[in-house]
Amino acid sequence: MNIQRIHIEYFKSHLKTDFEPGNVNVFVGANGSGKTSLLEAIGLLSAVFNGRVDAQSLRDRGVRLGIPAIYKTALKSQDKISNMIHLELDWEHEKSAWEYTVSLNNPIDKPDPFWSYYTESLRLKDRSEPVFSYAPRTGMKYKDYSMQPDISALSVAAGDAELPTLGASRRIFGDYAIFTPSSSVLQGMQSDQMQKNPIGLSGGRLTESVEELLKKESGKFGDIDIADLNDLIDWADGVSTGFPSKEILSPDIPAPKRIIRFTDRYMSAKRNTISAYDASEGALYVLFILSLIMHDDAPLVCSVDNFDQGLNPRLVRRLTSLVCELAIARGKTMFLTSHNPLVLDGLDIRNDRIRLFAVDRKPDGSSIISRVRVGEMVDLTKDSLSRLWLSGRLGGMPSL
Amino acid sequence: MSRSTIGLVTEGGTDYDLLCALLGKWFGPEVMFICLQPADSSTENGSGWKGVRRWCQQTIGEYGSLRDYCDAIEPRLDGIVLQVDGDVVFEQDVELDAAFEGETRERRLVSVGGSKYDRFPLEAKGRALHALVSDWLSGKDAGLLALCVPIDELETWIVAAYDSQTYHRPPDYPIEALVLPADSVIGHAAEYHGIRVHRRDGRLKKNRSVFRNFHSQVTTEWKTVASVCSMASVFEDEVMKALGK
Repeated sequence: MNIQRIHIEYFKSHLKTDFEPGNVNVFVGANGSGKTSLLEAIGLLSAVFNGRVDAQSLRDRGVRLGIPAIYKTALKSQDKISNMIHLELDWEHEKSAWEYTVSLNNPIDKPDPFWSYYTESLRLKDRSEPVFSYAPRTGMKYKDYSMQPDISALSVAAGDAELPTLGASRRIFGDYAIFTPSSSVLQGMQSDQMQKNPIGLSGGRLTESVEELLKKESGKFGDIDIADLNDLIDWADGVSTGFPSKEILSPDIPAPKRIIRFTDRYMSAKRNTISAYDASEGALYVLFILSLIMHDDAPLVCSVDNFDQGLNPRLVRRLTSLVCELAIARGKTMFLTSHNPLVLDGLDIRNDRIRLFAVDRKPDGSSIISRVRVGEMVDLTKDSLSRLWLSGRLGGMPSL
Repeated sequence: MSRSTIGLVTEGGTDYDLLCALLGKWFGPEVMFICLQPADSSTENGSGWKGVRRWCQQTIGEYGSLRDYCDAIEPRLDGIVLQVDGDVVFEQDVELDAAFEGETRERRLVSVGGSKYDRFPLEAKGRALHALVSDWLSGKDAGLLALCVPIDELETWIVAAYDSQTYHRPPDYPIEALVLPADSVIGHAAEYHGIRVHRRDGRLKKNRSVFRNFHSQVTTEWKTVASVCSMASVFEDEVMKALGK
C-alpha cells in the first residue's frame, strides 16, 4: 500500500494540512508544533478504515483520548468553528489508485460514544463513477446495506468481493498505530497498557518479538545479520532470550516469564550476562525499533513518536539509516517524529521514498507542514541536514 | 606515559577499532582515544580517504596547524594518529607528488597461489603516501602526528597476524602487498579462522562487532605483523616517536 496524499482539516492545530508521504517520513518541529497531532489524525483515519470511531478504536491506535472540543480545531482567528473533522487519503495498492474523503462529527455539547459520519466518498482514480459518494450519508445504502451513522461506508465496501484491493488496504491501514515505547515496559518490569501483536504500543512483548526474530543458526536477526545488530549495540557481544535467573535478576523485582539477555563484552566471562532490566535503555530501544520494522506481523503502516529517545546521536543516525533501508525493502510506511538533529543525517532525502518534513505554527496558530528537498538552500555537499536544521534554514525550529 | 589523550583520524570504524586496540596495548589503559574522523558520514565524502583528506584540509584551514588544533579542543590532545589505506594512490583524483607518480599510480598485478599481489616499488609507495598526507596537512604536523599508511589496506595486518606462517607468498610478494585483503582473504569464506564473517553485494561487510574478534590476534602477534608488513613497523616507530612512552 503506497500512501500518496493525506489531507487533514479541523483536527487540533491542523486547520488545513496536506502532504504527500513516502515510505519513511520524518517530522521535525518545535514542541507543540503539531507533530504528534498529525500522527493522531492518521490514527483517526485508520479508525475510520476499521469502521467505528470511538474511544476504544482511537486508544488501540495510540491516539490520546479526548473530547470532541479538544479534537476539533478552535483557533482564535476562526470566524466559525467547524462541526466536522475532514480527512482525505489517496493511496495506491496493487495497481488500484484510490481517493477517499470523509467528514466526521461528534457534538461538542453532548458527545456521543461513537463519532458519526456525515459525508463520505470513495473513488478509483481511473473510473469516472465513484464507488460511493454520500453527502450527507443519512438514509443512504451501499448496494443492499443501509448505512449506519457510526459505521464507515469504506469498511462496508471493503467487504465487497468485487473490490479485493480495498479489503487489503483496509486491513493494512486499519492496523496503523502510534508507538511510544516506555523504558519500564521495554525492560519487562511493567505491563503494556496498549497491547498489540507482535509488539505493544509501549514496547510490551519485546522479548517475544526478539525471540521470534533471532535465528542464531543462520546468524540472522530478522532481515539483518546478527553482526549488524551487534554493531548497533556496541557494548554487547550478543543478544539472546531466556528464562530469568537469580544470577542476573534480583529477587526483589518482578520477573517476567522470559527476558532478554545481553553479553557485556567488557566484563569477565562468568559475570558478563545482564538482563534487559540492567541494560541500557538505548539497546532496548534499538531492539524495539528493529522488531517493529522486521517482524512479519508488525503493522505495515505505523508511527513512532519521539523516535530518538534514549539514543546517542551517532547511534540514532545509524539506526535511522538502517530503518530507511529496511522500511523501503519491506514496503512499509513509517511516520516518525524527532527532536534529534542527527536523525536527519541518517536520511538520504535524495531518495524520493525518504521524506523530511518541517512542522511549524503559522501566525494564526495553525500547523503547516513543509517538505524539505535538496536544492539551492539545501546543498548536502556543503552542509549536513542537522547543521541546516539547527541553523534554522529548514524550518521546524522554535524562535528561542 | 605522560600523554593521555590521542585523537584518531581514520577511514572507517573498523580501522579506528584496530588502531585503538594496538595503541591500548602499547600505552596501557590510562590512555583515552577520541574518534575525530569519521565523525559525520551525512555529507558527501564523509568517510573513507576523502573524509580523511577533508578533515586534514578543514583542520589546517581552520586552526593553522595540528599543534594549534590539539591545544584548542577539549580535552586537549597529546597527539594524533592518522590512517589512510595505501590503495588511495590508485584514485585518479589524488594528486601524487610527481617524483612518485610514475612508480605508484598503476597497479601492476600478479597472481600468486590464487591471490592477487601488487608488484609495486614498496618503498616508493610508502614515501608517496607520507608525502601525500603531509601535503593534505600543508606540512604542518608539528611532530604530533603518527601516520598509519598500510601499503594496500589495514586488513593486511590482520592477515599477517593469522596467516604469516601458512600463507603461500614468495619473498617478492609480501602479505602487505595483497590486493583487497578484506575481500580476497578475510571474506573469502563464511568464516575466517573460526570467526563468522558476512558479505554483501559480493564484498566483505566490515562489521565492527566481527572485526573486534581479530584484535587480540593482531596485538598478540604484533612482532610478526611488524616483521611481515614494513608499514606496520614504520607505524610503530612513528607512534613511539610522536606519542612516545
